[in-house]
Amino acid sequence: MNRQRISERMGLRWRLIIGVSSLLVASSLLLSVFLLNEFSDAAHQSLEERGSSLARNFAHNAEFGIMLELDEDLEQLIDGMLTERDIMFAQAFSKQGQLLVRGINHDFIPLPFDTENLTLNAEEYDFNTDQQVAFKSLDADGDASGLEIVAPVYSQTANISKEQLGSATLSHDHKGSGEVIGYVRIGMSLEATEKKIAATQQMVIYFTLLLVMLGILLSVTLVKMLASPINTLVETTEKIAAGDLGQRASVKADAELERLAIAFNTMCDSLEKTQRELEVHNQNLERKVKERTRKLEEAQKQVIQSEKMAAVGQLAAGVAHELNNPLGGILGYAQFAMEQLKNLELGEEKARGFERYLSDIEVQARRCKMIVKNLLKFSRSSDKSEFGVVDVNAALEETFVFTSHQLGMKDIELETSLQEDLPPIKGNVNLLQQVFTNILINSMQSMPEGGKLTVVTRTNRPVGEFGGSVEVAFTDTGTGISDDIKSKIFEPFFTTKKVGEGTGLGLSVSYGIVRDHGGDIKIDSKVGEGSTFTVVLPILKQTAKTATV
Amino acid sequence: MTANQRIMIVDDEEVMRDFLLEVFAENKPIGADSAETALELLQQNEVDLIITDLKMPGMDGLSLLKQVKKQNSKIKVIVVTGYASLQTASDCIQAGASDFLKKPFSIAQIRNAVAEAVK
Repeated sequence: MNRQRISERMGLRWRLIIGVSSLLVASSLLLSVFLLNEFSDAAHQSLEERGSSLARNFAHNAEFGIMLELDEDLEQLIDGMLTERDIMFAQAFSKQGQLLVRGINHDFIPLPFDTENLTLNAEEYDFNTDQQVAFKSLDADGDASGLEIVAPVYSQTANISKEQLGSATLSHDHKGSGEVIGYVRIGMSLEATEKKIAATQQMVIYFTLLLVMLGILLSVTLVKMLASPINTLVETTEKIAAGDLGQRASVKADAELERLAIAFNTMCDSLEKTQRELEVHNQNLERKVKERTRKLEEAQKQVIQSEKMAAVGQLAAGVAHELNNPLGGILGYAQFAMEQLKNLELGEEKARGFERYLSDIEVQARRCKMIVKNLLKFSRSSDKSEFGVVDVNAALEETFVFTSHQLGMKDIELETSLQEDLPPIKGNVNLLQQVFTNILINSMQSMPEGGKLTVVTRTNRPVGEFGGSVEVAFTDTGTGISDDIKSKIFEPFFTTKKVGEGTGLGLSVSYGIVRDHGGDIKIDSKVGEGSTFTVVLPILKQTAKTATV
Repeated sequence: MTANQRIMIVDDEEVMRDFLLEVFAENKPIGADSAETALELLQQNEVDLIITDLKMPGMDGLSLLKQVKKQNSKIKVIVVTGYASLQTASDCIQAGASDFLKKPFSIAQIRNAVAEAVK
């Protein structure tokens, strides 16, 4: 489900708020309606009870007044009744329903209903057997604004005189004789009760409103307490999903949510850790790939170089052999002509001139012969049967003896660092010395103003590859070799020297010799800083093991 | 070496052949430009010594050496070559060559070799 649809839907927070609030409002309303009804019923009941009690009292006290038709007594009674706050009127009737005396409370005038009905029909009333009173609503335009209560008056003493009245102790038992001698009727106002009910209703409404508001506030607070840590978690999750793994959820809430947050953070930690490990692995892999690629490229370069050198060697051999025939003719004829010259009589001066020409031809032809010889050396494989065990350090020391004079002449300081337990190699010591000499001469020539030449021997044992090798590094502080020259430096006749100063065969012959030994010559150079020629020769296999013991 | 010894020079290179013919002019040597020609000339001429090149079109010097030795083992053969190697030199000596010279050689060297061969 995408985020758009989720946000379109109502959030948990709002659903909770609305749900809890609705519940609160509904229960408050129900409660208030119930309370109001109960209160209203209780108020009406209390009014009826009071009315009933007043009516019965009135009826009891009116016994003699009605029996003896003492209107004054009755009027006194009625006046007493009217002092009660909610009695609107009080009336006394004869047994036949004729009005005897009546009184009206002037506070209620005009009465909202007809009070001119001066008769009472007892049959209209349904007297409650318990309380001996009857109730009837007094309607004022449909509204019950009053309550009419009628109580029968019973005679309790059979015959009594007016004189006896004052001393008589009267029994309150209504059912003394059971004979009805008249009726009393009172009207009670509902106004006060209704007012009280209305006031209570208002109070209940206010209270309900307050309760609802408090409820909503409480639910909002509760929901916020619940939802905000969840929102924090959601926001953090979204940030993490967007790639920011450093994000952590900070939830200080209930134990459950805090535990959830802690678990979430722990998960993030392990996610981040895994991600970091993956990155490290990737970097390692990349580095390894680069390293491998570099090695492969180097190996490929070497293969190309050795193939090129092999092709050049073949070409050189062909050229050398083909040159030998014409050279043989030139050299032979020159010598022959010199021989013949002695038999001719040319005169001393002329003879000397010819002799010089022929001698020059011979010398130049011999030079050609030397070049061809070197070319053949480069191209020809060394005779492996002449290979023996060679101590590279000793071979180097001898070479230094031969070249030290030249080095001193050129103001070059020689520094050597030869590894003491250098393992021996298999090879031809004379050829190897020729290689070392060639490289030394080359280094010397790169330092015409003098400098420093460092020769280091060391063992290089790559794990798992071949048996390791002996390395002889010649480092000079000379002019250096540019990259475009590096690739050609071992080619025959390649030279940076002036014509006549070098044949350009020295390094190529050296390369051929080292290659025949199963080794390689590496060049590391910076223009203006100097060069390092490293001769790499494989360690003699049988002795490689014993040498390490 | 005496002037009555008969020499044959076999070389496809005209310059080399002519040079050797000049060097040994006293002996009135016979020249041949190939091994096949040399074998033909041997039928008509008596020869004491042959100087042959090794690498020639058609039959090479080593084959010629072997043929000559088969026909007449008394005939001395000197092999000269511009393609000298230890292997070819050893092959030639084993096949009965009196000497093996690398080109270019000096007049003294070839004269020495011939003198040694006919001694």
